[in-house]
Amino acid sequence: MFKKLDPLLHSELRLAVMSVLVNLEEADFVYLREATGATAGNLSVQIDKLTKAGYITVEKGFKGKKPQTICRLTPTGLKAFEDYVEALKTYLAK
Amino acid sequence: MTPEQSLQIISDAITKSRRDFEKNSGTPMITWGVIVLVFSFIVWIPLRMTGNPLWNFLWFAIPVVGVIVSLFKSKRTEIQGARNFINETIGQVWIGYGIFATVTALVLAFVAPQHIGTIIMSLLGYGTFMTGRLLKNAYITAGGMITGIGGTALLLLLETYDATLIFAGASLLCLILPGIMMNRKAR
Repeated sequence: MFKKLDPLLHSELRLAVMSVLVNLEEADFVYLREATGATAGNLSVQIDKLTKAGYITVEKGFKGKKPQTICRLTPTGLKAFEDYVEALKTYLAK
Repeated sequence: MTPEQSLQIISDAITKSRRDFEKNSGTPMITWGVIVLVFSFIVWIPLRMTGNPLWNFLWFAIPVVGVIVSLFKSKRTEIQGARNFINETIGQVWIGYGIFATVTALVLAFVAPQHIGTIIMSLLGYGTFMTGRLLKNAYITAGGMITGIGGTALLLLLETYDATLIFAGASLLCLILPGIMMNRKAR
């Protein structure tokens, strides 16, 4: 029996962002852009969607004189990611 | 997007960030190891020649030189914009080592200078052991145990100025060789 895949995570860029953050304590916007190869505009939109879903938190600040946006995975986001991987397994087992 | 593609995205992202953090991860250990190695000889040579224990105060230059060199090198080797729990924890273990080793040495230098070496060696072994455990690296873990237990025992047994050279051996075993191994593994 196939489990339903979370539509919010079943998107290339959002899944890549979540996969990077699962492995890290935190990552800033520039690191995420380089890690995913996304454009700044697209990444910004997807980060906003993940934030609204409560999967990640975003903290805006400054590093020296430069603005910095730091993203962190929330416990809700981690659970959603784990559930997504579990659901994926049901498809791959076939 | 197929389940296989999803899996590939997850795998690629995790592999990439792991590689980012593994790259140059051994450089701080090599840097500190070389500094300790060099200072072991800088202290040992005048000690051997003059027999004056005041030369031991040269050890206190290690944190100063180490911090300056590390700050200079970290700009080139540190991952910008991301933090990972293991690397952060290892960094904190060694910051803790630096603080405890310096403060202990400063206090004991005026109270019981004969015990400084054993305590510093024991702490060095502990720091290396913790690094090995966090990285799940058997060689680094074993190096920490050998240094912490064997190095401390040797310092207690060899009460001569040549005991200073045990620190040179410990820096090679605990810092330089593991650091080289970590950098080579990341390539």
